Amino acid sequence: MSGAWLLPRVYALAVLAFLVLPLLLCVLFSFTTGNSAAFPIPSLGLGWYGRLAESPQFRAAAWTTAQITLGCGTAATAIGLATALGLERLSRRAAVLILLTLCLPLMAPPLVLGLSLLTFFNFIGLKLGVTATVLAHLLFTLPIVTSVLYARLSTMDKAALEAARDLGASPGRAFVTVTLPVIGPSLIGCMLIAMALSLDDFVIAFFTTGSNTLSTLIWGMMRTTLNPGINAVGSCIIAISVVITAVAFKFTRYRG
Amino acid sequence: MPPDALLRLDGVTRRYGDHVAVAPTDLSIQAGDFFAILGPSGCGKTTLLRMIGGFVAPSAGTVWIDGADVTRLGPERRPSGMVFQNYGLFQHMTVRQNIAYGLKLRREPRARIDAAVDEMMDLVHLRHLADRPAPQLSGGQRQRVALARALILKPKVLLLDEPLAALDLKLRKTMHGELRALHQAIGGTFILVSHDQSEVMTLADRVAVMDGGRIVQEGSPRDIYTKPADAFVSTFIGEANVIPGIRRGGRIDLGPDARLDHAGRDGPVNIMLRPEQMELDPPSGAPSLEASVVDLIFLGPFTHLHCALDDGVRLLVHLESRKLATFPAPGGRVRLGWNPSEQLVLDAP
Repeated sequence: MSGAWLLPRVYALAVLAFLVLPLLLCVLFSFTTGNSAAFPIPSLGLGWYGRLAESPQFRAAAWTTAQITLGCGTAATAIGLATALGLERLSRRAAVLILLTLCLPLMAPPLVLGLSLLTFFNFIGLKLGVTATVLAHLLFTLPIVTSVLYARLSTMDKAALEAARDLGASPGRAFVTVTLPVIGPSLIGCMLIAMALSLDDFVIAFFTTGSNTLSTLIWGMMRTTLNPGINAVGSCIIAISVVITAVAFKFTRYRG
Repeated sequence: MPPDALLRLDGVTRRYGDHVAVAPTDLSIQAGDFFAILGPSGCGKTTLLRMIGGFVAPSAGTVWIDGADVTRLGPERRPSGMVFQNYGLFQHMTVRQNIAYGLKLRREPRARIDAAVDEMMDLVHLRHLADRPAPQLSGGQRQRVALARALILKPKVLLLDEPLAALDLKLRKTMHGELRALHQAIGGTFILVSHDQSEVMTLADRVAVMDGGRIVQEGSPRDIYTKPADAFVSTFIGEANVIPGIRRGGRIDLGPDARLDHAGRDGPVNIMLRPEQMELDPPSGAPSLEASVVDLIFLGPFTHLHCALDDGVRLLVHLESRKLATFPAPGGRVRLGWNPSEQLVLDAP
């Protein structure tokens, strides 16, 4: 075998290993029966998960995260759909301009975003907590959801919608019987994307949450003790993220 | 409004900003007509049709269908059915579900819907495809589904927006036959929008020719072919030779052998002659012009002669091949004449 054949493959494997190994190690250490996230691993077991399940802090954080994730997913999809339907009626130029404006928060560093949101929420007197975090997460999930739904709507056959009206459907009925079946998969996909993005966020949640979420819980745990319990929480987040993202990809053509 | 007009437009207008898509238009269409609106793309014919169907609100004017003012009604409340240019089928439904859609909205009993859909599918020859999903249909099949879906509601007027434009020539010919048969079978009123004059001549019994947002002529296809209102209509319906001239004191001078007596005001005029109305080497006394032959195309029963006058005006002459003793050669000179009773003199704009 010549080096010209081998080199690109070794390089690709090395990059892959660099990207995936930390995740694999994190998951692996969560199954250890030892007391530290390090080699050697005495044996494998679910001990750390058991302790998590009994920990009131973890349960509270999981509940908070669930509320934020579901709330953000639902709200982003509902508002995004309404926005996309409105944009669809504008000229393409106007719609793109508004979408770009909507995307501005994506360009700001999360740290800056978190800080300014904290200031803003204090200013308007909004108590930090689930509502505040959901609102904050809408800032970066809404532009993505709206863009995906707008793209889907603008490739839809307008004549089908007009035909439905012609055949006796009210605007609402035409939406339910013609538009929804066509964009339904995109809607579900968008909701899952928004949920995945919300779940993955730490920085903005850290600034706006009232109680621990899963990600701020990890951060808190790391400051006090370093034990495989953190790995177990991390593995949970990874698992949920991967499942949500995989399902989302199945439903939309969204690829980042 | 006259009791027999099924559809009437009173001053129907559509403006987009400063652009006038449809100038104030009056039109009445009788029940049972196969009416065609013919014109080049951008002439406003589709906008006019969409105003009848309720998809575009008129800027001014009134739309009457069967004695009722429907101007302010949405498409779902008008007794009209539309076949869209790209069909607009419901892609997530089968043929049967597409056709049944309108009746389901009306909450008719299941058995009645099934029977009506079966009957409709027989009428458009789709029975064998009943459960096929819409995306798997060919162009002609989609066309038939769109027709059946609209006709099942027994609309008082069926609106057809360039329904055959997306089909290839052979399929279009087949669909022409089917459309005519359908119209005769159900006896409805059809309004067809098309830019294809041969389609309109084949299908329609009345035609309105549109140009620049207004109807320039309305009549039977034969009226419009034999008595076009202006040079635009003459060239749009069939082929036409338009020879420009100037009238002075009741006389139009086209050349040494073509001085025509024709009363009217002084000014520029156009002489319109159909290609089949011109002949080679006319009898003496008939008006004639000398031209050079540009091209000759032999088509079996007919021979098409493309000629040019010395001032550059192009002429097309259709000759019966069997009446030609010799075929003129390209580059040669010929004398082209006509019967003055067949010529049409139109005041140039």
